[in-house]
This record gives sequence, structure tokens and C-alpha cells, in this order.
Amino acid sequence: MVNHEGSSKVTLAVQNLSVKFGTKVVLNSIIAKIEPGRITVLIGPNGAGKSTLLSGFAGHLPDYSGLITIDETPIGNFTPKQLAALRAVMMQSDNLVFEFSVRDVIRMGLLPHVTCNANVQTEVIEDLADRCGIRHLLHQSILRLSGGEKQRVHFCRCLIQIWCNTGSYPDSAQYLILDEPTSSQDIAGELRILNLVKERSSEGVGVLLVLHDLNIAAHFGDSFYLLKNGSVFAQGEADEVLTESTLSNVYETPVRIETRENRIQINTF
Amino acid sequence: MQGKLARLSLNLTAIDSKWSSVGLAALFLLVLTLGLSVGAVPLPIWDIVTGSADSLESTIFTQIRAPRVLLAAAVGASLACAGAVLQGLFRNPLADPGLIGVSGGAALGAVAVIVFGSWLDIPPELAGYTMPVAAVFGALVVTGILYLFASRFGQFKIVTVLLVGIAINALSSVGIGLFQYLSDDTQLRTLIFWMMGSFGRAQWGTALPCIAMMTLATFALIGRSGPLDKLQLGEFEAFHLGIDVLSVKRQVVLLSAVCVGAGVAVAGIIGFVGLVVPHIVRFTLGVSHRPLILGSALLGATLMVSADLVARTAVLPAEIPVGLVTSALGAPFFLWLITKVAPR
Repeated sequence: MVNHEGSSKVTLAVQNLSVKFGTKVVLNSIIAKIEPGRITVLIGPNGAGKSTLLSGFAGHLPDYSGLITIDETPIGNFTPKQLAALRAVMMQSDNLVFEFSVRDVIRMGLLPHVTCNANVQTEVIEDLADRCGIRHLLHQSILRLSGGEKQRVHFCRCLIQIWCNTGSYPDSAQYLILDEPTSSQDIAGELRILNLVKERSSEGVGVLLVLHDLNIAAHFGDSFYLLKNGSVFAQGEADEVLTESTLSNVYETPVRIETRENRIQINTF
Repeated sequence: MQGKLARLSLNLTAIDSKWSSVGLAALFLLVLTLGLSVGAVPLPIWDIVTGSADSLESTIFTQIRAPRVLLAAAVGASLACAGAVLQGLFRNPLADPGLIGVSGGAALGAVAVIVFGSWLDIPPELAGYTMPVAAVFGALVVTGILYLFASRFGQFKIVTVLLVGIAINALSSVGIGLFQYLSDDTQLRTLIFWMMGSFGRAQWGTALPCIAMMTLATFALIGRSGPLDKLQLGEFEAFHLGIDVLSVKRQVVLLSAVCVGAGVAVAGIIGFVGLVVPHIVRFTLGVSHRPLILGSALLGATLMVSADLVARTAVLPAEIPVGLVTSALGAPFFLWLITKVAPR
């Protein structure tokens, strides 16, 4: 299902993406792409435009100029249903006001045209819930969970969404788009989520992450886009983007980087 | 506080959601039979069904009692469904067609027809539809305005919708007052009787078009239950899950306006059914929209037939307006609900 030759054709890409909110330029001619089998990380200071760029990839930007394409087809040519089979998106908002159970919420990730049958669905839900550390919560009301637990429920819902749609469009890769998926996690939860992300990516899923923790980003990311004031300031692999001079410049804070046993460590003090 | 609500509802859901739906259906049939047989003239239902009742009893049954009770059931069902889906659409547990102004808009439409209807040249066979259509139009305008306001001020703040509802209710009472001023004596009489809200003048000719509209809209809403569930995650999230959010919102706004508009056209403004019923159903059948809408239809019908039964038998030979009965039950419930969901 996945094109492992790394052909540039099979990607979720934005070309010259510009977005304005009123007169304020939020994104300025961004060129970026998410490739199957790789973890692409968006980093940058608050207000740099990371979440807006993520919305562009997710396909819900109301107004923009430029091109957003999946395998060179403009994203507007896909129906919401087709898009849902190709990519799952996790946002930071939490809007639920009624007492859905955790299982109900996870099941919302199952689309009406899912390819796996009911028994498999139940098995997959229990298995993935277990690996997200929320299996013991399946019968609980979502409103009673802590912020971190809720976040893992929504993450699990996204995993279910792409898991149960493998094969809907055999010629295209699937994408996982996550806006700060570990913002409410303790260190164990963070590792749990990012290991699952890494696993999906190694199976060929294209991943886009917005992350604030640069050390975590350096460890899990394959390629990086460093945003500043709505433009891409630097892009590429860790050693090209995560440098002392670049980071110090973009974050306007002195940053020191040490390399120990092949792993970089980014410090601000 | 919300935690307490959660525990209560989930425990009940786990134990007996199947039995709850059977219970709801049984309760509805019981109340329906009761509503058909009890009244100013007690009717022996069994004799009427088997054809052994006398002709006066049969006439009362077919011409007066049956249309009245069925209409009450249909209005109760459709108001409760409208309440359920409006609460879902606005992600707001306090949404009620009456409180947020939808019923007021429908009333304004209906009153306009009472006052200006004679100016329009409507063929008699369509006359039964003019009031419901005008009321639906009024309800539609209000729901649309509410929706624009609510989405403009961000993610559906509970208070925003209620405040906009207050403003719209005020505006529609201005409109209704204006129409009262413009109406002549006969129109004024019709108007005031209509505004009190009653099923007392139910006849097949006016009841059937409304029952048809409400039934169709209710079933169509049940068909939107999957998308409505996903909408609870947020609009972007629903889109990510493959929902065409704009078209679902339009359909739900239109269908709930049909439910409310047709109900108001035929029975006046009857408050709180749309608020109370969905919450009771959530306690017993859970929050997923399919069981919620179906359950709300059943319980709404049950509640309205009972309220109408009280309204027409409590002070015989007179009647109390049925809206008085539902409000007496609903307003305290609303107060209780505010203490549960109001921002802490």
C-alpha cells in the first residue's frame, strides 16, 4: 500500500501556502510536505503559525492562497469522507459536553465505510486502548477523565481511524496529523504516545507533529520545519535545523547544544 | 457536580438501556390508551375498537378525542426531538426551542398568517399548510440567526446562545404585539386563543398536515444521528472524521425548525418539553443521538399526552392551557439543571 521508494509523488504537500487573518499575515508562502514513513515535526515559537500550517495539512483552512495537495491532487477535490480515510487529525481543543463513554468516543474514529468487521473492531479498540493506557477507562464518562487521559483517548481515536481504514485507498498512504499530542502528558504518557506514533510511521504512515519540547522533537523527528513569523526559517534533518545559532536566533534565547553518545541535548541554561 | 451527573447516568446506562427503551414504549402505549379513554366523556376503548360502542361515543372518539390525543403525541415527540438535536447542534445542555427563541420565531410566523392570511390567495386544499409553513419559516430564521451568532462568538458558549435567545424572544414578542395591534376583533380573538396553547381545537383537517410534517422531520433527524454524535467532538473534528459539517448543520437546522414550527402552528408555544425530555432520556438511554432522538420522541409524546390529559380533566368542565402544565413541570427542572451545568 505504501510507496517505499520515496517517490516525491506520494505526499501530502503545501506549495506557496499563504494565510491572512484580516490584515495579519499568518503564513507566508510556505512550501512543506509530509512523506509516508517519516515523522515530520513543526517547531517554532508561540504564534509562529505552526497550528495554522497544521490546519492547512488537515484540510480545514477556510481561506488560503497556494496549493494543498495529496499525491498531486488538490485537497479540495476530495470529499470529507475520502479525506477521513486518508488522514486522522488530533487538535488541541476538547469540546465534549455530554457524557459519552470513552469507548463511544474511540468508536467515533470508526468511519461508516470501515474495512474491518465488528469483531476485529472490538479487538482493535481494546488492544489500542490498552497500548494508550486507557483500557481501564473504556466504560467511564469522558468528562470525568483528567486532561492527560482525555488526550490519550483522542489520540487512540485517531489511531483507530487510520487503522480501520487501511486498504480503503490502497494506492495512497495514510497520514497522522497531531497538534501537540503530548502537551498534557507526564513523561510516561509522552513516551507511550510517541512510541506508538513512531510505530505507525515505521509501517508507512506519514506523520506530522507539532511539538514544543525540542529534545523530544530531536529524538523522534525525521525531518523538521522551523517556523518563525509565518515563514519557514530552516528545514531539513536534525543536524541542519537544530543548531545553536538557528535556535538562538529564532527563539531569541541563548541555546546550547551538546552531543552525547550520538544524541543531541538542547539546553537553554 | 458534573461528575455526579455522569456517575448516575452511566450506571443506569450500563444496567438497563434495553429495558429502558422497552419501558418507554410500554409507558407511551399505556398513556396513549389512558388519554384516548379518559376525558369529559369517558370512552370505552375496547368497545370502540370492536365496534360495539354507540354512535355518539364513536363520533366523539374519531372526531374529537383521537385527533386531539394524536396531535398532542406528535407535538410532544417533535418538540422533544427538536430539543435533543438543538442541544446537540449547539453542544449546549440548556438549549430548548422555547428558551432560545425558536418557538417565538415560529409564533411570529404563525401570528402573521392569522392577521395577514386573508390577504394571501391560498387555495382551500393548501390552507391547512399555510400556518405551519409560516411558523416553520419563522423558526428557521431564528435558528439560522442563533447559529450565526453562536459560531461567530467562538465555540458555542452556553451563555451566548441563551442571551441571544432572550433577545430574539423579546424581538418576536414585539412583532406579535405589533400584529395584535394591527388585527381586527375576530383575528384578535383567534390569536389570543391560539397563543394560550391548547390541543382543544384539534381537527383532522388542521392536525394531519402538521402530524405529517413532524413525523417526517423526526425520522429524518434520526437519520442524522451519526453525524450529530461526531459533531460533539467539535466541527473541525467532525470534518476530520468525514462529516460534511456545513450540510449536516443546514439539515439539522431545517429539520428542527420543521419540528418546532409545525408544533407551534398547531398548538401554540409549549415550553420546556424540549428541555426536560432529552435530559431524562440521556439518564436512561445514554447520550448517543440515535437512542436519544428515538427515546425523546417516545417520552415527549408520553409527557405531552399526559400533560394534555391533566389540562383537560383537572378543572372540568373548563380546561387549563397545556403550556401551563408543562412549564410548571419544566421550570423547576430548568433551575435544577442550571445548578448542574452552569460554569463554576
